[in-house]
Amino acid sequence: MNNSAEPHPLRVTLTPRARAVLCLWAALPGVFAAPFVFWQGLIWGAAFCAGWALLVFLLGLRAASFTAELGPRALTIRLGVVFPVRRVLPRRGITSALVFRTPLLRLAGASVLVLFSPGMWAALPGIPARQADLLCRALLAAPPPEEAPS
Amino acid sequence: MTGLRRYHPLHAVGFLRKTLLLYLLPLVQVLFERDWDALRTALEQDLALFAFLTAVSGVILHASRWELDQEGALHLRWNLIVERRRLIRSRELAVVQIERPLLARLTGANLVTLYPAARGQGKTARLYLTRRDAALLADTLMPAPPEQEYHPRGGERLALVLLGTNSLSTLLLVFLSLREGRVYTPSAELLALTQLSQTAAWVARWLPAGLAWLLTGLTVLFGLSLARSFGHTVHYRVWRGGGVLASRGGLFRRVERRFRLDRVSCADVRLSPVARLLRRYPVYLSAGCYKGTETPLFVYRAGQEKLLEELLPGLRMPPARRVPIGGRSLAFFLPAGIPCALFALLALVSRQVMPELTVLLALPALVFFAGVLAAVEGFFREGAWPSDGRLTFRRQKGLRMHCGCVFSPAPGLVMSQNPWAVVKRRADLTLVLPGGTRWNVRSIPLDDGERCAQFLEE
Repeated sequence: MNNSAEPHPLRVTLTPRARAVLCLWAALPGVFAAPFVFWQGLIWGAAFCAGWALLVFLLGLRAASFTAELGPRALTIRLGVVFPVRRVLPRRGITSALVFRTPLLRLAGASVLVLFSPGMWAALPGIPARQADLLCRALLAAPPPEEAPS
Repeated sequence: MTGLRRYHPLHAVGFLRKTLLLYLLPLVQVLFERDWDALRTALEQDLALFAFLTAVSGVILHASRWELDQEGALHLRWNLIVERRRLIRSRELAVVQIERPLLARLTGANLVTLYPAARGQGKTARLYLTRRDAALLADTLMPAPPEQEYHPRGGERLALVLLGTNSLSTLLLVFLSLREGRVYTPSAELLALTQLSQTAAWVARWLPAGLAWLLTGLTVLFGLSLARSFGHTVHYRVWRGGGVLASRGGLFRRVERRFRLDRVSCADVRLSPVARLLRRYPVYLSAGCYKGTETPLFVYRAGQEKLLEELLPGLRMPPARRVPIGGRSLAFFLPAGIPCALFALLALVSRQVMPELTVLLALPALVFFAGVLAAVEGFFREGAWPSDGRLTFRRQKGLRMHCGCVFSPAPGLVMSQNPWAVVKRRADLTLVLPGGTRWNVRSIPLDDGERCAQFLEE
C-alpha cells in the first residue's frame, strides 16, 4: 500500500461482536472447570461461577476501552480505565506481524493481529478484519520517508 | 573473499566441555559406594565415552566452516547430512567482541562473539578462530581505525579498578583507604591489597569472633573481584573511529569490544557511593543484544564531560532537577525499608533476649538502612525526560543511581497506572530496548510520561 494513501492517524477499536467473541473465549475455561467445582459443593460452584462471570465482565469492559492508533512514527495502544496502560511501538521497530482468524472471529468479521518488534510484542485481539489488513500493510510497508535509514 | 575456512580446534572443545557432567555422574555414584572395581569399570566407561565424544567433536569441527564473501558478509556453514547456512551482514551487528582467555592464548585461538543489533536477527554467534582470522573477521565486519584514543592513567585507572569490583567490597576498601588518606597515590592499588590482610584484625575488634567466617568470605570475594577488575584494566584503552567505539585491555583475559555507534541502544552512567566519593563515574554501554552490565567501557572525572562528548557523540545526561514528589508512590522505600525495619526490630528484641546476637542483627539493618537512604534519593530524583533529541532517565537500583540516555531510535514504551496513580496523576514507565533490556522508571508525573510517549510518537 502506498504510504501517501495511508489515512493518518488510523484508529482501531473493537466492535461489540468481537468483544463478545473475546468474552466467550474467556468464559470457556470457566465453563470447563465449573462441573468439577460444583462436585465439591453447590455453594462452591455458585461462588466460582459468580467470580468467573465477574472476571469475564471486567474483561469485556477492558476490551471496550481498547484503542490502537497508527501515527506517522508509532503505533499507540491504549487499554483499560481503572488500570490504564499505554503502549507505544515505533513503526520502525516492528519487524513482523501475524494475523489469524478463527471461525467465530470470521463470523464476527474480526481478526487477531499480533505485532512483533525487537524485545517486545503486542496483541490486538478482535479488531475488524479490514482494519487489521490495513494496519498490517501500513506497518510492514517501506519505512516512512523521514525514517528511512541514511 | 577468504574461501571456506575451518574453525580453531578449540571450537570443538566447547562441545566437549558441555559434556563434562556425563563423565562425572557415574564416578560420583561409585565413589560414594567405595566399590573400587566398579570405579575401574566406570573409568573405562568414561574413557570410551570420552573417545566417542572426541570423535563427535572432530565431526563437528570437520562439518563446520566459515567464509567471508566479497561484500564482507560472514557465512557460517554446517554441512553434514543436512546443509545449513547462516548469513551475517555487517550492518546487522551491534557489537563484535574478541576474547583471549588463558587457554585460548596458549593455543593461539581467539573467541569471537558477534552480537546482533536486535532480537530476532538470529542468535549471538560464538566462534573460535585463529588469531589472524579473528582480526581479519573483526576488521572486515566492524573496522575501527583509531582516530581518537583514551588511555586511563593513574587515578582514572584506579577508579576503573575500584568501580569495576562489586560494590559492597569496594565500599570496604574505600573506607579503609580513606582512613589512610592516600587513596589517590600511584601505589594505592598495592596499598589496598596490603590492607586486606589487616582487615581481619580491624574487624575483630568490634565483631564477635563467630563472624570471622563472614569476614573471610567477604575478603576472598573482594580479592577475587579486585583482581579480576585490575586484570581488566591492564593495557586498557578506548578509541573511536569509522563510526565504531572500541575498547581493549586485560591481563589474563584480554578482551576487545567494538560497538557500532549507530547501534548503541543505551548509555548508563552509574553513580554508586564509591563513584561519588572518587568523583569518577563509570559508563556502561548496551548495544543490540549486548547487555553491557559486566564492565564499564570507561570512567570519566567530574568536569570531564568533554571526553564523554568525544567518545559518545550525542550523549545527553538527564536534567539535574528534582521531580515533584506530591502523590509519589511510597513503593520506593519498601524493598529496603521492610527488611531494615525487621532487622532493627529483631536487634532491639535481641538486646533483651540474646545480646550476643545484637551486632549480627544490627549489621544487616545498617546495610538495609543505606538502601533506604538511597531510596530517598530515588524518591526525589527518579524520572524520565526527553532532552535535546534523546530520551533520558534516572533510575535508582540498590545503592546506585543509573543515569541513562537512550540512543536507539525505536525503543518500545509502556506506560501503566493503577487506580491510586490515576488519582495522583502518576505513571510507571517501562522502556524496552531492541536487545530486550527493560528500564522501569517508577511513579513519574503523568505529564512527564506523556512527554516521553509523544517524543516517540511524533
